[in-house]
Amino acid sequence: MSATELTSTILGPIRLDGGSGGGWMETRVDLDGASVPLRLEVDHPDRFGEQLVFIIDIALTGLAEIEKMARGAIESELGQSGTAADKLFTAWRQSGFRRREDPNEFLADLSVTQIILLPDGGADQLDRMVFTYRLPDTPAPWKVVVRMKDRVGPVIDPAPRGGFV
Amino acid sequence: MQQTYDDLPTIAGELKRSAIDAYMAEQHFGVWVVNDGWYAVWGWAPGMIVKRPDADGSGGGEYTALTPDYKAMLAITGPITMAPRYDALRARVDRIVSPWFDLPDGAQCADPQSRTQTVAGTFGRSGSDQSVSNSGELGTANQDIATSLTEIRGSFKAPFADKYKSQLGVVMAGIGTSSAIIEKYYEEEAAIWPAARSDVTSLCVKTKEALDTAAQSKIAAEQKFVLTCIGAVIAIGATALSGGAAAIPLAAIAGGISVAIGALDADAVIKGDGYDAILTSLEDALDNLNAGIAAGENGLHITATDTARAIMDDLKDFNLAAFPLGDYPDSSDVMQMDRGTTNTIDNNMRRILEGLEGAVAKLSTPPSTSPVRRQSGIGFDADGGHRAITALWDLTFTCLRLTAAEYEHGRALFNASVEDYFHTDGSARDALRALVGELV
Repeated sequence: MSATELTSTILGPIRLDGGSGGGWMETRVDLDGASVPLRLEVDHPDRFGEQLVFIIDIALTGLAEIEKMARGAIESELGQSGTAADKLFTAWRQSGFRRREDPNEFLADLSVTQIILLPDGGADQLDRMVFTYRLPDTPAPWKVVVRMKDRVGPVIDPAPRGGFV
Repeated sequence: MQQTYDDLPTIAGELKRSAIDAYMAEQHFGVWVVNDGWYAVWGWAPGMIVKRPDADGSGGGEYTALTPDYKAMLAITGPITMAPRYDALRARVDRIVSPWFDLPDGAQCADPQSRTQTVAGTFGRSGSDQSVSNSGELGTANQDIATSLTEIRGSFKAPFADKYKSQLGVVMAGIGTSSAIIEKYYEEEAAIWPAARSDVTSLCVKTKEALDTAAQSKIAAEQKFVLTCIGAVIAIGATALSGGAAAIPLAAIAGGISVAIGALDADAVIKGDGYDAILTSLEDALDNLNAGIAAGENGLHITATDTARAIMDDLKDFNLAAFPLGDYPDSSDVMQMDRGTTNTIDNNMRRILEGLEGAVAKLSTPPSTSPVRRQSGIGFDADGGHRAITALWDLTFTCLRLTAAEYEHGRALFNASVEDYFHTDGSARDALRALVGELV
């Protein structure tokens, strides 16, 4: 059975690029009405089968809930100095045309700009979904990356060494 | 709180749930972060969740949809469950662990061990090996008889001393050695089972830890430890049999035990990169433990049967009644003795007789059922070496009982010879003749 015969109820037919060392597919998913780029990365295309497609479908069916967990992790980092979320919040407050203080406004401004799905990472690569959040009209390095780790849940990448400038 | 062997049924239940946790990890499901009574994909993706077994390993497996799409799907397909898969895993854990339920604790070995130890001590065993040197109270009494006999002249002296002094010493050493070997059986069984209980508990607890690590999608560290029970079994081979003046070929028997025990490996390893390999490593470790117990008990069984055979091959060295009395004169010839000396001999014979009768009382009832009974399939036999050791016990007891009775006759014979010497009337002579006719 070739991988091209596999069909996800959410992603449609799955056609992986790449070879036996790893395959990927670029597509888009709906997240709360927005179309977000999603990259599927498969470590073992030779073992990729219906069971894993079933797992991907279960995960993506609950995508909005999972994204809320990721967003909740960002929210809980606000006010904790030195964290990526708090540093980006600080940078956001100091930018723009008007003075901004409301964390809810900051959170509402944040949107998911990319999702990476890594269903078969195994024990040495625990990331299963990686959400990249950006603010509108800000420099490219201004982002928060939330990794949904297997059996662990959300873990946020540390801030860049020099903060967001 | 540290779990003990009494918790094994509980541990087995926990082991089932941990095995299912680890199995689900391989299916990409983890314990749901929201409610640990459920599994979710990777622990947090909530499209569809699966019921986790209870803490005792029972139940679980049903899929529940949390999103409209899956609710619609389940409405069409009907309930989906993983219960058959869970049942297979539970059955596998039962198969591995339940034969180890209800192991003996060895405590019932204490009474037979103590009684046989006393008997071996009565016959002069002093150390912890099977050495019986006739140095005890009875040996001393027998030595006093030997000394007193030097002060007596008469043709009855040689056959009397040969049987009731010299051969009695051989028989006491023989029965003492046999008792020491029986004692060793109970001593070793008493050492094996607490160690086995502790090893089984440790192996299951370590397996649960390894499964829990695997359920976290992590690679479990290899857990190595030494099985204390195998150490106890190896000690049986190393300290088995030594010393002893009896006609029991201890060195040959010890060689037989060493062959039976062979080269056991006391190291156990619990490891694996998934539930299947981890459960297999538990299976292997318990098989190894079982082989060790079986080998140790087989060694003890060989000791018992070889000892019984040695006794049957040379019965006169274990049973005074089987040793013939030499030509015993039924009338006084040239004799010389005094009352003080004969009384000393009679007193010492009474001492020895009391000692023999005390030993008879101690050995009169071997354990009626095996004190180390366990499920069949564990160790040498469900009863351990009970049948062989009981047969040896019965044989030793019979030899001892007949020896005591024979010695009582010997004492009567001696006193009849003495009375014949001091009172040359007809009735003393008749009494002596009657006894000689009975015993020779």
